[in-house]
Amino acid sequence: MRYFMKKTIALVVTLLLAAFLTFLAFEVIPSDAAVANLSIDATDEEIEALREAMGLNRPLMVRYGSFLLGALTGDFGESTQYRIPVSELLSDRFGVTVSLALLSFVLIVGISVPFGIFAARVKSKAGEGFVAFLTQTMMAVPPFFLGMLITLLFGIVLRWFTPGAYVPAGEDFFGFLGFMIFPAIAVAVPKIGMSVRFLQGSLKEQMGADYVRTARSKGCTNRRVLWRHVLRNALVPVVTFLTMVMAEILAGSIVIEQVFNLSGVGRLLAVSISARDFPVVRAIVLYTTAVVVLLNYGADLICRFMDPRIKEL
Amino acid sequence: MTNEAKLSKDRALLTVKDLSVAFLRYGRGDKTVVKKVSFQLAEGEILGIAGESGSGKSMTALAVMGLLPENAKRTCEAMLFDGMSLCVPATKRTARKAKKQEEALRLGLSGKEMAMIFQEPLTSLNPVQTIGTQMEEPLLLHTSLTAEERKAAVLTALSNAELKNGEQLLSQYPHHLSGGMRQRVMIAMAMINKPRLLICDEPTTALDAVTEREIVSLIRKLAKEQNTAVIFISHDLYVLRDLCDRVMIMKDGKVVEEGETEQVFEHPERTYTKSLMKAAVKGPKETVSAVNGAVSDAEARDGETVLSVENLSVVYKQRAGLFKKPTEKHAVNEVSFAVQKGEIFGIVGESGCGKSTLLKAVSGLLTGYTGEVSLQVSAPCANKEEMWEQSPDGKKKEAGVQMVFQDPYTSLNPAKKVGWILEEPLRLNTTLTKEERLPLVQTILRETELPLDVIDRYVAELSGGQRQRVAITAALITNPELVLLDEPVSALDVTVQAQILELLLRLQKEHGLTYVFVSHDMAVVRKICDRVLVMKDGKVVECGATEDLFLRPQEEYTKKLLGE
Amino acid sequence: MSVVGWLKKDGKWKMNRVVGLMLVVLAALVSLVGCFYTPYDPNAMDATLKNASPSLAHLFGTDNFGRDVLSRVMKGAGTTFAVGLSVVTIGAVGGCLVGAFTGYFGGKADLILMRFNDAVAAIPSILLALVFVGVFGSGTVQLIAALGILFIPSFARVVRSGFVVQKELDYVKNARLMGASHLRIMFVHILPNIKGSLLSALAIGFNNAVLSEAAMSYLSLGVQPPDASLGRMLSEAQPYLFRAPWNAVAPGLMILFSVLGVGLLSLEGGAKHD
Repeated sequence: MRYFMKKTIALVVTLLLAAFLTFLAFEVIPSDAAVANLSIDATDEEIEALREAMGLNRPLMVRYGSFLLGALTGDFGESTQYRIPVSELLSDRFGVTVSLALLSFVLIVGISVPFGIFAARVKSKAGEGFVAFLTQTMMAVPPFFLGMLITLLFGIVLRWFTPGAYVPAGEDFFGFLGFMIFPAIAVAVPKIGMSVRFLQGSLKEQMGADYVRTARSKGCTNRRVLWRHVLRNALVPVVTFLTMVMAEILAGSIVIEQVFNLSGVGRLLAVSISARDFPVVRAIVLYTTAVVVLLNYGADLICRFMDPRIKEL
Repeated sequence: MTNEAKLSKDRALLTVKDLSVAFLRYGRGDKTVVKKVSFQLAEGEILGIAGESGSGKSMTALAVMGLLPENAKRTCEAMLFDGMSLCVPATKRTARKAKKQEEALRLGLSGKEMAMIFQEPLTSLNPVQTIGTQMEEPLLLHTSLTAEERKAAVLTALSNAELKNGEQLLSQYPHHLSGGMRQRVMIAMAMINKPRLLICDEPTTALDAVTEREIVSLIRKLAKEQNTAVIFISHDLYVLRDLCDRVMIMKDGKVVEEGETEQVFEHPERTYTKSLMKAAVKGPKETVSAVNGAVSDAEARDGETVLSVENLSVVYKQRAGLFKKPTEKHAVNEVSFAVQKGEIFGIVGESGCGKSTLLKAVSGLLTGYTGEVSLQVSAPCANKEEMWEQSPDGKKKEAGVQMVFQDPYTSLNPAKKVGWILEEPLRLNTTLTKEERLPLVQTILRETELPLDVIDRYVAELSGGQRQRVAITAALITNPELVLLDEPVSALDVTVQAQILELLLRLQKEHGLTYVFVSHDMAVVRKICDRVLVMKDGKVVECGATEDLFLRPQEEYTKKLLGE
Repeated sequence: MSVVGWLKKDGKWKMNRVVGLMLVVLAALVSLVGCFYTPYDPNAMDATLKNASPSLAHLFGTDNFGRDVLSRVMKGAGTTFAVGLSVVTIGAVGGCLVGAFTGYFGGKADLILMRFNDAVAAIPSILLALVFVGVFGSGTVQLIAALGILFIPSFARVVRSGFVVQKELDYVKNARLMGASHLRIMFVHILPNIKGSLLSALAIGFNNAVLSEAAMSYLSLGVQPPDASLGRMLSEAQPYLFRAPWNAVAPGLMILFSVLGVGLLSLEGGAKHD
């Protein structure tokens, strides 16, 4: 319980800090939002008037307060590019990004856990070498290059899906799945390589631990040693690792959405940065950071549950 | 010996004939660590296996249990447990089938008929399972007891192992327990199915002297009660002499000598056994006759105090947490003593008694203490220029306090060559050029009986004894006035231990050095120290001349330490 | 140690090192030669040769503007690797300093810096790089600065954890007693002992930098046209993927091979027994 409270307090502090840094980052921009909104030949008076109207002349902490309040209620102001509220802009796109991330995550866990266990049991030199080579290759493929290859092979040559034709889940779930699986694969492959290697390493380390010898001396079969003793020990670091992977999936989707022409949050971010549409950028960065921080919080709690030795903060 | 006992002895429980264990190495040939070892064990008999590290004693035990690492291969003429063959002879063609057969038999016997306990009880228990879950696993695997029956059996086993609060222990995790309790849990778990053979692989090495004796007597008690045969592996000859019916001495994978315990200890036949016995002998310090014309002990100590410590206290403060009050712990509590020039001053106590902290405070590595530490020596880098100027009689000027640590693996920089390590103190404290430093290094290497080619080698390439010699060399090269020795021989094998102690004594005689010697090993302290200070929980228990203290201990705790 | 000795273990070739070295040498050669010589001017357009398929004259074909793809890959690889190396250098030097001081001295500064470090490390670097570029504008220099600064925390973490372990070891105490200064202990005594983890961090860092550069340039937020970089080329090739796949395959494989090569070299291989 104490651990839970400590972690929760740390979570709130981290979230506030992240919000402040995000807020601050866009305060130091050489040209402020008022200038960005007007044409180049605007007079100083015009700029000043707009600054006043946008509330840019208030003290820093006051503006941070109102920013924070807005963030909590989902109000991030208006997009300078599209002239509609940021929250509206985002809500249309969340579904795509979240489903892409979840689908990739399912692929990663679903493939790398069994494959990692298998890889840890590979004994021969040639087998070990093959696994190492395979996982390194997977990790070395740039995801967007993989996305392009997938588009070329499955979209253009084999015609398993129509590139660029996203099907919303509400209309045709299987059509949606049939399309989304391809970007999800592009996101997942390099992470599968990483996860397999990590899980394999963690399992192999645990298999050499002293308690494994004890378990065997009690008469445990190899299977029982693996499932009852080794796996839980080996999964503790894997949970933390998977959180990191999840964060990277979110980042990876920025590029993959571009490749597959998906209108998700990541693509919006890339476009908004090019157009210097800072209210949108700020909102997306804050949301993503919050998600990552929350994931870490969740991972800490799961690890605590899995490993009784973790007590201190 | 009663007739009954004799009868059971005649029936061999375990027969091992020509057992060999080899590690497979690609392209470099196999490395054999156990070479044609044969022995027999009768029902209820306790066999001790002694030997230094690398003698193959642990591998022999693991081979019997079938727990060898995967890259190790065992071959043997015969290995019979109660008439069953643990090691199925196989040709290349039948190897797979034989392995399966062995594995099936092993699964049936391990944890039921034969059990094992290990050196490190903390890592040998699964950190994420409760004691209860781990304890009942042998029952789950080998019996058809119900959940309640299993729980009852676990509680009985825990109380047999003299553990209180069994009920509470069930839901605890290994990291909640102390080292001694963990090893008791291991023993209780091993004995839960009343096995006929218990193998103990250095079960007391990681424990304190007092706990060690308790664990040994527990093993003896349980073995007697349940008529369990025991193979007890240890490097500590005294433990074996105390416990075993028969002993077997191993060296380099071979059996050197085997026989009834008293026979082997009283009349060892082989030279190696004799040297082991000699190294392990517990006795007073030999009053070495003055070497090189140095003055005798009493005269050397003409009352000149090198180190005096007064009311030294070290308090560790645990900072207040969000939900925690700050707590204080006295690691060292009001300790006072003085060390005379030219003497060897011993500090003994169990781990956690504060002796290492005390030493750190004296050396200056730890500054947050109260009380007085006054060193009548010059600081290490005080007189850079003068230090290596030689006085007319060829004696170097003295400088500073140096320290030799327990583990030469960590006290010598693994990323540097020995030459660099030995030159470093000269580089830091003198203005000698590179050309001038080398001959100095060579001279002192000869003194510490190290080959000169160690200069170009890394520490990892040396043996344990050589490493500790290098550490001593590095400490002595600046000719310090006071040398602090923190368990300098505890990590070494007995014969090496004896050599290092001999070296330390000789250097002390020849150069009139002053040592503060910290150890948990009473026998070692007795062999080397002139005066001894006994510590417990940060406080001084007793202090006096070594022989007085060993022959006529005043305090209860000292007697306990001495095993009386 | 000879190269062959390093490539062999127990008389057998270590395939990961052999293949890795070949790939790294290939990538290095292609990009180094590209600095001084390319078959064609990488930026010379030829309207008559748009998206021409590979031929003897143009081994990897030409792109939408009729530029020679081989020449552009050679030039682009140079740009990409230069960015990667600069980023890793900034990250490693900064990380070593921060990690060494915080790890060795500990205390409050360490606590605060590491908290901050953890927060930065938790957020994917590409996201932060995007924000950085968003704030300071896009371009090669901004990209190097952004990625370089963002790589400092990961190096600092590696170096710090090494220092935290090493500083407790007795050889450090020994050096103190000998009278070595803190700076000397940090950089002469301790640093060589974390060489191993630092080297693998360098390899991973280089790979991440190359992949990040490619991703950023692919999003048109890194290296700006007309300069060639591997990511830039992929982004330009995408609209013509069906008509001229070689435009994408050549730079894509170049990234793949170099990253794979470095990855294989940094693998900890071989049995650990005796």
